[in-house]
Amino acid sequence: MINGDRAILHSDANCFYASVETVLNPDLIGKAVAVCGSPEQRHGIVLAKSEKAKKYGVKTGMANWQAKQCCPELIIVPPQYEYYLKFSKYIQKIYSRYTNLIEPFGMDECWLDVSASPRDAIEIAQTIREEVREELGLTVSIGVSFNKIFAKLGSDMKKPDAITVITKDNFKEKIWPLAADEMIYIGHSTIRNLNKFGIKTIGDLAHTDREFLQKEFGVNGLKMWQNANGLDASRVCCEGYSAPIKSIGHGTTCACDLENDSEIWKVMYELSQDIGHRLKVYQYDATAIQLTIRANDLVFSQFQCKLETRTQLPYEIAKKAFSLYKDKYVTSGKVRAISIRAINLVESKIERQIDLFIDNEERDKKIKIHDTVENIRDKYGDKSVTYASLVGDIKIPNDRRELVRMPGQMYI
Amino acid sequence: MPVSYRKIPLIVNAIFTKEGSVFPTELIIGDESYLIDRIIDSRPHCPRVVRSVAPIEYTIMVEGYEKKIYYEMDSNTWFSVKEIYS
Repeated sequence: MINGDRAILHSDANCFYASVETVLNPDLIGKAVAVCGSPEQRHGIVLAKSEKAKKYGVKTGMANWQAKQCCPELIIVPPQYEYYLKFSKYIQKIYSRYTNLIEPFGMDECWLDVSASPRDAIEIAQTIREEVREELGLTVSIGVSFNKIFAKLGSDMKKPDAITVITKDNFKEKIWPLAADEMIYIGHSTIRNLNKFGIKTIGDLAHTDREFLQKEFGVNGLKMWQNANGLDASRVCCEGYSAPIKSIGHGTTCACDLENDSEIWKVMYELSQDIGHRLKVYQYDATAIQLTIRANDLVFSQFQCKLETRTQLPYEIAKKAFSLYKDKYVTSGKVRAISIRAINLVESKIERQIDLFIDNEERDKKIKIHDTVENIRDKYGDKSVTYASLVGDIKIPNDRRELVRMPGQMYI
Repeated sequence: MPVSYRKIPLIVNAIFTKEGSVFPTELIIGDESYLIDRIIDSRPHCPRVVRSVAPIEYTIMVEGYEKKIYYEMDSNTWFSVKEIYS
């Protein structure tokens, strides 16, 4: 504990993907390296870059060719997600030596609550930093503070391989001069609105009238004010905790633009296979779906509608998504990316009201077929059995990106 | 003198205890086998000069010589690191 306050660490693995690449290929150490998606599969952007590449001005999200312009000697490597996941687990194993209160935020960041530890928080941070470097060859930056928000800001302050301590005594001089959008959950849109009122720094936010922020930004305004003043009291969740599931979705950027209904149907049906599988695993039924379509000019449209009957069946999900697309999507032109989300989930064990206007016997047969397909896939692998209509080129890239879980909401 | 490093795969006989510990007992190189006299130290350590995923480094004594060998649980493989001077 720091002076009787909570002791929260936020550990952030530096240039995570790029650093893992240098461990897997030590010839890359000290060179300008960028992990980039494949241009052939139309994911040709920088996902992560090494410290040296950063110095040349290479930024995450840049197109590969732009990155090469910034740094002609840049070495571009493809992502190896399975290794990033492995290293992420190994780092979390090191954290678990000190506390069971570990909250991952994406693959490379974690909050740790070490308040109950007899050891000093700064000493723990120092040991974690050394152990990660020694055992895995990676470096982490750690923020030590009395709440999660400031700990996260601390880990961003000094990089790489450093510790920043933010206490109740020094947060005004260390945190308040920072730009307001450095704080978690203040994005492009919020900062634009804050700037309209002359609020540019975290200090400005802290000094703004609480009622005014609440009036302008609702409950988020109040939360921003609390965070800026160091009053965040959100807890670090327990190791293994997983947030309640509110929706289950799957999306992809296609390997090339989809030009006709048949291609769009195949992609929707393939995406629905995974959604149906996860609905079954987590024992939920979807009662509505949400469809997001991104055209090849990058304009996106989103629609949602209720399903006639709650379901786990991929065919019913895909059929509804397709009819939504046909009814609502008016933009002509090619489709670049599709994502489908099962929403308004209900637990599948809750008794279902039988629909009087459909052939329930026929539907029961479809459920049995789906269960059988699921059982075969469980036993012999995902690709052991598939629908004939999904055989062949369905324009979905297969690079295992679906394994990656992006950060969502912080636990509160 | 410039030095480079090479990862040398090894065949190792080892005892895997039910508690999850791993103790190498014998190195097999070609047709020869060498008993490991003593394990001086074992610790998780990334050598950083060759490809590895969270290996355990063992410092061992073989026929009077001290050697370092690595066990990578992820791939269930053993290796050592050879320095090459050019």
